[in-house]
Amino acid sequence: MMYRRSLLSWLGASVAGALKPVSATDTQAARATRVVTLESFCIADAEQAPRLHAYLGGTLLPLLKGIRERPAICMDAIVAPHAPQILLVAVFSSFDEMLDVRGRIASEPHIRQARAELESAQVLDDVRSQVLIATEEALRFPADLGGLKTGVLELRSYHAPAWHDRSPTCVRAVFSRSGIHPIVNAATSAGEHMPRFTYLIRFESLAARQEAWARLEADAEWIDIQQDSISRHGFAVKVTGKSIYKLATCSELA
Amino acid sequence: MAWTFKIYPSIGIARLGNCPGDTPSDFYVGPEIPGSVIVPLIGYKDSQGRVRRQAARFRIFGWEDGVFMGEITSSAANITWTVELANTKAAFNQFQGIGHTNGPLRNASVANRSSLMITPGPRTIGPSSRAVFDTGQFLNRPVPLGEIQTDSAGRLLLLGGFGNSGSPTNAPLTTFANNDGWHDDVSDGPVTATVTYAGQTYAASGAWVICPPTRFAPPITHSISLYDALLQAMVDRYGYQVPARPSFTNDVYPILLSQILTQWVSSKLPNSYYAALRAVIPPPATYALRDAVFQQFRLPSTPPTEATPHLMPAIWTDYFAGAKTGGWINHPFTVTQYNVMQAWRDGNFINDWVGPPSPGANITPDGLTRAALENCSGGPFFPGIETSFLTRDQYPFVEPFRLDWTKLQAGDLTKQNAVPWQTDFNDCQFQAPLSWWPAARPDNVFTATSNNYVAWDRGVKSGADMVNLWSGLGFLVQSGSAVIEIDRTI
Repeated sequence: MMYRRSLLSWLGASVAGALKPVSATDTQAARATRVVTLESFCIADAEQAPRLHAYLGGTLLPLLKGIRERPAICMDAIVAPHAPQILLVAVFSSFDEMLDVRGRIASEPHIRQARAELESAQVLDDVRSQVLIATEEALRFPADLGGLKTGVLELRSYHAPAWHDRSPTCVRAVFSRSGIHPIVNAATSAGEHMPRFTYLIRFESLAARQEAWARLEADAEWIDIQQDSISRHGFAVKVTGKSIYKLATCSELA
Repeated sequence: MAWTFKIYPSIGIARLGNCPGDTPSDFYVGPEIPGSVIVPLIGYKDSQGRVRRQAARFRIFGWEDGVFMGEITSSAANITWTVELANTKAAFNQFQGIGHTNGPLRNASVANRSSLMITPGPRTIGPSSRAVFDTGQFLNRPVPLGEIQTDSAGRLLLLGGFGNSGSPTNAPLTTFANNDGWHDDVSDGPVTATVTYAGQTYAASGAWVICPPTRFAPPITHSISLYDALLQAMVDRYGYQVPARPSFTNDVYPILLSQILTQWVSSKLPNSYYAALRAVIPPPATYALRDAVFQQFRLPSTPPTEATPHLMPAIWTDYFAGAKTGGWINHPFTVTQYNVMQAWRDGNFINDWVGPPSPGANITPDGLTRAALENCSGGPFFPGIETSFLTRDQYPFVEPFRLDWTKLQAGDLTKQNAVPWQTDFNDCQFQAPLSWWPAARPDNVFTATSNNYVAWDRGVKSGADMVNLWSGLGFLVQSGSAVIEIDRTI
């Protein structure tokens, strides 16, 4: 349970009990797959961001909370290829639930009105969606999402044919040893650079993030993993995208 | 975890204006997306008829271990900007045409050469602050060159001069480019920044800013823009590769469009030329129609002083000084542009046409540079509007479109240009049989009330008039399917 202890270390002991526990004895449940959606709301003009925050925090997130139990958070990009941007991360128990929830949300009159207002105000340049598949054990959201209020969150994707449909245990171990503790560790279900693995990782600060990745790069086992990828696939595990966020205030309000 | 930070646009453009205000309601930011035309909501001129300055906005983008991370703002880093502006025109050599950079000095009788150089020195600012370039002097007369300020995201906004030209010695204006005793407040210089990110401080790759005259015809694209000219320089001088098979939408159409749009700024081209251009849109058109257009273009390898009557584009050559024969000695498209058109003529192009392209929605690093440069003249450089042939032919670049900011001096990009700029601007009206830079300095225009061409510079009869009246000239705007003049106050 090193993984969980490491997670606790950044949440602080006082919130240890608030973690959504993964039962070590219930392997079947831990291995059950979940659906994680990432929706990037690319904002046309930074001055419009408050409107989107108001929609997400005041309308969408409360509704999501009311019709499902799994976590959903919003994050503001601080370093991302498209900024300003708000990333909505939501977890569903299945594709069916995701589709059902989306349908219910879309049918809500006040959601439709809010979306129409956003559209007419040309708040958004683009909305990009990704659907990820994760096991229950690979989702490490704190029960109290307020624990994410400090620090930064990194969304990072790897193109890693050597990892097949799951990143190997050794990767998780090296990550953990380097101080990299994903909240989300998921495979991507469609798109470019398949197979692609996406991590959402919380760091205490940008400096802590730098140090953690530097430790990883120097880790002998990580170097072995890279060498293995080169020998089997002709190239090292590739980073295909990374962005850095902070928890959006609308997440805290919801 | 190696970070690289770079400033974009790598060459930015901040155009002068005589509206002195420096709040966001006084100026507007220049194009940041290729193909976009800025029509400020606050208007090109203020309520007193003064031309608003067009600011250049500089941003920093970051790469971590070679992976593009996006724009770096004050949300993630502490950014400190340093800019130096200078105007050294009066201390440089007289402009005598390309190939003559070692001619006699301007103001040769002035022994104290530094007294001719408006050099306020560098200014450094951090978040939410501003600094003014107000300590430069010309022959002991203060000449402010503009200011810098940072916005709430830590981006740099740079405002150029005010269009003030003058002579402390009351010297007469005698030539189009070399008027001793005169200054203007055009300027240029390096833009650098330090980025403190995650506890470490990095120097960003530097950029350059040019603060040239106003662009009065924003919807009109140049036959050869500075982007085109520098792209060719990257190909010729640095082996930069361009796609062998052009896109109709992205490569061919802009060249056709630049020719079609000439109708709104020049009365001199025959309607048959415009008809031929329109006949090849939409693609593919027949080979015969494409060839009919292509055959009208001057071959770039034609000796530069050789006349090629009636070939296009109908603008003067860089080599005007050696070609004063009254002949049709025009400036060709760049080799890359010409090759694009030849491939298109031959049917070797990607037919991706779904209609005239709309500007993209996203700010990108390269897009910032392209948007700035495609609104500048890439020739003829006789001597030029925004910069000179020195930038295209001689100055070093560290990567495509990024000058080596460590090897150039503030003022280098504009020192070869006319002093004051207004005399050149006045002289470079249509000069039979060719135009100079009709996209930058229109020859003939339409007004909202007339279907007949009128001279854009009507009422301006001399270089001295242009010094005094330039801000009263009209701007061109799209009005339905036409382009018309507005805001004229002369």
